[in-house]
Formats: sequence, C-alpha cells, structure tokens
Amino acid sequence: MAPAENRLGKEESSGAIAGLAGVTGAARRHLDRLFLWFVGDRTGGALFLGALLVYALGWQAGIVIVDTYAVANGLVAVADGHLFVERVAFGPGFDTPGMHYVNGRFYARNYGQIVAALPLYWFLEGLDAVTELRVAIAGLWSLCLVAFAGTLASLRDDRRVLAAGALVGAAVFLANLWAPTPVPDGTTPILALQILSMLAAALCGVVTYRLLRRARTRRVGVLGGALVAVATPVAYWAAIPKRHTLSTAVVLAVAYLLYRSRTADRATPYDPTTLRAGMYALVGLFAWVHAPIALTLCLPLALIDVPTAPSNTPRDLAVVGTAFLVALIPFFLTNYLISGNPVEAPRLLPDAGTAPADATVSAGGATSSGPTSGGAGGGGGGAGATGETGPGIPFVSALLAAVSSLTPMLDRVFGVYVDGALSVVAEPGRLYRVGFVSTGEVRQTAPGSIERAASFSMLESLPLLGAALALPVAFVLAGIGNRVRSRDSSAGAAVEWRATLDRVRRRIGGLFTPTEAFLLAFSALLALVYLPRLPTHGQMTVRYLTPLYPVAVYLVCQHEQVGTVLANRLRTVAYAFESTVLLGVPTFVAAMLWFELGGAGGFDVVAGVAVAVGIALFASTVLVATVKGGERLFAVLVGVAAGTATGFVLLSQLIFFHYGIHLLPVVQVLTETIRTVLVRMAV
Amino acid sequence: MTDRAGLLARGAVALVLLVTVASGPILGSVSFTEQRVTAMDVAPGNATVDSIDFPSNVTLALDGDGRYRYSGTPIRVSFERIAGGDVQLTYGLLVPALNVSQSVTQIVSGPTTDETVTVEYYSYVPGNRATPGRYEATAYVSLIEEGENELVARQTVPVEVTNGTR
Repeated sequence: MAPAENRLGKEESSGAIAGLAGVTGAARRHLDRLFLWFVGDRTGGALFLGALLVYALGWQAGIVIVDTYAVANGLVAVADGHLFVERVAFGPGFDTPGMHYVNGRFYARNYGQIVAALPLYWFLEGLDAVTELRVAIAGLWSLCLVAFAGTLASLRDDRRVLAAGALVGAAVFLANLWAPTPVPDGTTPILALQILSMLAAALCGVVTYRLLRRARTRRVGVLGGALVAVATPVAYWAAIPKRHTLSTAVVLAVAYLLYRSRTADRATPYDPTTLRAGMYALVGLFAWVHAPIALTLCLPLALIDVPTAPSNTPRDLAVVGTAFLVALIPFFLTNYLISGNPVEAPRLLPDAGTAPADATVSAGGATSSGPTSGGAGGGGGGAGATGETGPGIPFVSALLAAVSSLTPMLDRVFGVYVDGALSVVAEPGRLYRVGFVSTGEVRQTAPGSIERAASFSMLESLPLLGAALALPVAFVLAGIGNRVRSRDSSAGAAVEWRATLDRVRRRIGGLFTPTEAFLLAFSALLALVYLPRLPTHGQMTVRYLTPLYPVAVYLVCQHEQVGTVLANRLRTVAYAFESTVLLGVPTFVAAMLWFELGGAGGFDVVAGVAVAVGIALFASTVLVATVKGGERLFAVLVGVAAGTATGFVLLSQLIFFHYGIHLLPVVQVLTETIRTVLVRMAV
Repeated sequence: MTDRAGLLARGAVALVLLVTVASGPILGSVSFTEQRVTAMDVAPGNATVDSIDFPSNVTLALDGDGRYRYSGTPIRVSFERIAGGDVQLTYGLLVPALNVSQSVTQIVSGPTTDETVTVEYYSYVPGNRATPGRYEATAYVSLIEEGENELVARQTVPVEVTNGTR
C-alpha cells in the first residue's frame, strides 16, 4: 500500500474514533444533566447512589409478604399484554391476598406500581438474554460504586476518592465472580418490583435532602436525607417488593413541590402554577397505585394549597385541575377495563376467594379476548355488573355506574377516618402498642399462630421518633416560659385582650409553613386510616405508616433550634452513628451467640434498646429546644438512635430474615456463614 | 498530566462490562456460575389432565407438639395423555388456621396415555396447635410442563382437626 493511502486510512479511523468519542461525550453530558435534574445536585446524587449501594446489600430474590404474589402475577400478566391474571407464576394459586375476581377473571391491584416496574422488567429480561443475570447485577453494583466514588470525588475535589472507589469496585466485582449461583428462574418480575422499590427509597432520601436544603441549609439537608435513606424503616422496606417506599417517595415529592411553589427561589421554567400542577399530577398518578392513600394525600393538599397559593386565578385553577384529571386517566381507564366502573379501584372489588372452586381451571385455560365480559357480577355487591356489555352506549352506562357508586364509596372512604378517630378515643391503648411498645402484644391478634410475630412499634423501628415527639412538648414548655416572663415584666398592666388575640392568631399562622401543615395533616389522616387495623400480626415496623417516619425526621431537622444544633454538630452525629453501627452490630451478634438468643429474643433486645434510646432522645430534645442545654449529648443520642435503626435494618436483612438468595454473591456467602455459626452455636 | 484516577475508573468500568458481556451467551464459552438446571431439563413434556380426585375429607390428628398425623382419601390425577417427556406434578394442601402449607412433588414419566397417578402425601405435616374442630383448607394440583409451572386446579377441602387421643 502507498504511504499516502496508509496515512489517509489512519486519518479516517482517527476521525471515526473522534466522532464516536464526541457522540459518547454528548450522551454522557445529557445523562449527567438528566441525573442532576433528578437528584438536584452532586450531593443529592451521592445520597441517591449511596442509598442504592446500601439497599442492594440486603437484596434477596424472594417474596416476604403473601399479598406480593398478586402484584407479581399482575406484572407477569401486564407483560403478557393484558390486565387479567391468566397464569400463576408466583404463589400457591389465584386465591392469594390482593387478588380480585371480577366477571370470571382474576385481577391484581396496584396497577400503577406494576406499570412503573414494567420497563425494569424488560430491562432485566434483556440483561438475562445477553448476560448471566447474577454477574450483571454484581456488575451494576460495582458500576454504581464507581459512580458514587466519582460523585464524592467531585464534591470533595479529591481524585483519590475516585481511584479508591474504582479499585474497591473492581475488587468486589471479582470477588462476586467466585462461583455465584444463578438467579432462580422466573424471578425477574420480583426483581423488577424490588428495583422499583429501591429506587423509590433512594429518592426518599434525595427529596428530603432537597427539601431541607432549601428550607434550612445544605448541612441540615445532608443530615435529613441520609437519616431518611439509611436510618428509617424506608431502608428496611427498600428491597422488599411492596408499595411502601413508593408511597413515601410520592408524599415527600408532593411536600417538596408544595414548598417550592411557595418560595421565591424558583428556577425560571417552574412558576408556582407548574409546580402545583406537578404535585396534583403526582397525586393523580399515585391513585393508580393506591387510591385510598392518594385520597388521603389529596384532601389535606387541596385544603392547604388553595388558601395559601400565591394566586388562584381561573387560569391557575384550570391548569392545576387539568393536570390532576389527566394524571387520573390511567387510573380511570384501568378501573373501567376491569370492572366497567372508572372510579372503582380493584381494591374495592370482590376478593379472589369469592371465585367458584373451578374458576382457576377455566381462567387458566381461557384464551385471551380483550378485557372483561359478561354481566354475571358474582357477589360483588354490584361491582362490575355493568362491564362492557348491555344495551346503550358503553361509556355512558359506565359513567352512570360511576356516579351512582360514588355515594356509598365516599361514605365508606370518609367513614374510615371517622372509624379511626373513634377507635383512638375508645381504645387509647392501641396507640401505645402501635406507637411505642409492641412486645408481647401481637400474639393476641393472631390466635391461630404459635409463632411470635416480628412486629416492631414505631418507636422501636425509629428511635429518632423520640426527638419528633419531644417537639410539641418543647413548644408548650417554651410558651409557658414566655408567658411567665411576660407576666413578670408587665405586672400590674391592664390586659388588652384584643392584642393578645392578635398575637395568638399571628402565632398560629406562623407556627407551621404550608409544607409542615400538609405533612402533619396527611400524617394524622393516614394514621386514622390504619389505626383501627393495627397492630396486626407481623406488622414489621408498622409498615402501613412508613411515610410518617421521614415526616418525623423532616420535622426534627426543620426545627429552628434542634436543626441548628444538629448542623453545628454534624461530625459528632456521624461519629456516634458510625460507632453504633460498626461496634454495635458485631457486639450484638456476639451477644446473641454468648447468651444463646434466638431470633425472637434478639428482636426483643433490639426493640428494648431502641425504646431506651428513644426515651433518652425525647428528654434531650426537650432540653435542647427549651433551655438550649446538653447539645453535645443530644448530637450523640441522635447518632446512636440513627445507628440503632440502621443496625436493626442490617441485622434484619443479613441475619434475621432470609427469604431468598442474596443477589450479591459476596453478601450471600457472608450471611450464610454468620447464620451457620449462629445455628451451630445454638445447637 | 495523566489522570490516574480517571484511568483506574475507566479500567474498572471496562473490566465490569467486558466480564458481564462475556458471562452471557454471546461469547458462550465463559461460565461464571454453577451449572443451571432448568425446569425444562426436569419436565420437558406436556400433559392433558382428564380428572382430579381431591380428598373428600382430611383428618389431621395432633401428634406431639407442632405436627399432625395426616389421613384422607387418596388423591388421584388422571392424565389423558403425556407427550414429549416427563412432567412434574405437585399436590399441595394449605390450612391457614393451622399455618399448614405442605406440597409434595413427583415426576410423572411420559410419553403415555390414560395414566392415573396416586399422589403419595406425607404421613405427618408440621402445623400450629389449634382447637379441635372443622377447618377449611385449600388443595391444589399444579404441573410443570415444558418448563412452565401451571396451576391445574384447586378445591376447598374440609379438614377435621382432632387432638389425636381417639
């Protein structure tokens, strides 16, 4: 070949490489920008990636609670192209909690969650087709670690962090390759639901950070975000394929948008109306996942948003209302296709247990032919009796059915809040068992079982709750102190009742921001919804009230005095947290071996420690918030409380609860070894 | 100046990507996991079920702490035809009140026609202590055929729980 041709060839190939590098660089920049838009900034990115790394340590391929069978089977059905569940991929049969029977077919629920998990399911199926899934998951974890190290390196402006992260990532990946067993066949739908849950959990930390960063400072934001991500039951539920983290993420995102719509530091494309439309759209979309919680979100939101909005012009209200209605369309459409009634969610339809005994055979053998058919009804109290059949225009008849069913439905929905309030008044002991100490109580709720349920109360699950519960006490004490002081200074002066009334009015108005008022009102309503049913057998961290935990953390960090102390003593909190986790967890495992504690005994000890720490934190918070004393002790206690909660999560995911293989082979080897040692010692 | 940290990071990413791709069927020759036995290897056949005789009554007699002696009418599954190889038959009994959930699995050899299989269920099953009386149970039969698990039928079965002294 002539030298000139050779040079030309080299130039062409170097041009192609440069072009490829340019395309890769542009794609990377776009991805980076999208990621930063999602997480706010690099600190949010580090929180997000760090949380995912932690959650993946406890990730096991399996189902913990039986109502997940219905959602997993629903995901398989939707992936097959229809809403009705035709084959049972998971669980013993169709008749599992959460499955519903309408017009001769079985349906799942939480279709919004199912649809959100669908792209992840396809992604995993694609990965499974071209790679060994277990290796790919280990690889993703290591890539996540490198990305986390890269984000930390840019934050600290220290490239050594990136180098260390890359080395550790590569080493852990190679260690994971040491004879991993394959992921069990057919578990990709569950893995997809688990990844969705982990992403939502990581988002909870990020949104808390973004909210507190704007409401307070970056340091308070980092603390709040990290606490929510790894030191609350959000971390416990992260790798479990249920809806709890998704609910929590939506609640926090709505609170964040509400806050942003009330402050002046908005980025230009987002005016208050757009932000308000965004939060109502989130609520509307969430109805597709869990309509009762969406309603519980919508009521306080509307009541607080409209009176406090910067403007409520007809245009504003039209934009907000349209966004809400458009977001509700998937919910309405799914309900219409299932029951023929757009407002009747699957949750309100007859359970699968109402199906005739031979229903599974006919359902399994049925050939797919569109959505529901027939007007048999089937004992559903008229649910779905309209369907898509009958004379007249189908959509009009469905609309009429929807309107006629609204009255009993609203009665039922609002009755839930009334029942909740009545049950609290009639049985205040319930609050104690759910909120503070559950040990020994749950056995009564499950007469058929001889096993002790793993049911932590709220304080046992989150000792930091002690600090949140102290805030109203501190507020009242501070008010009394102020009143005494003002009386002393104005002794003998005539009381001007009008001035006092004005002062009280101003105080109440200035007591809560709209965001705080919304979070408190939502928390109260959610508690009313679930309190009559609690405590349940195996409620595990009072899972129905999971959104309340980040709210408690937010309120603690948002408090003027308490938040400032924590921000000033962040290093103390971090040291106390690290010491509790790094020393406390191994010490606890050693104590379990030494004292031959079983799982139940171990749980009792963790619960007892959490209650003790929570009570100490309560007292310390009152001191800090009223007389500004004991700040260092308070910071230590917050770290210990957070470490106790994280320790509980780690012990649960790595030792106490084993419901499937750990997706990271290294963790699988570690946990198997610990469990084997524990069993041998016990024998 | 050479960015060593950046190079290390790129190296780690390249290692992960290359090994992950190599683990898949594209290269084929590299296997990082233990041999996978699929359901298709065990049960490649497909079956047509003619009828299923669920037990008309089941008695669970308490036999020591945490287990029951099982007795009941035989469980029979009649196959009209099994083609293409073996299938795997599972019979399970769920008694929620006793927290009993026991299934038994057996391979039914194929190909064959007009075959009736009697399921050999356990003599003892573990369960929680419950007051003697009549409880409701769910019995089911599922088949793995052509590697896919299919629930064939289920039925509500009455269960008599006794304290085992009679």
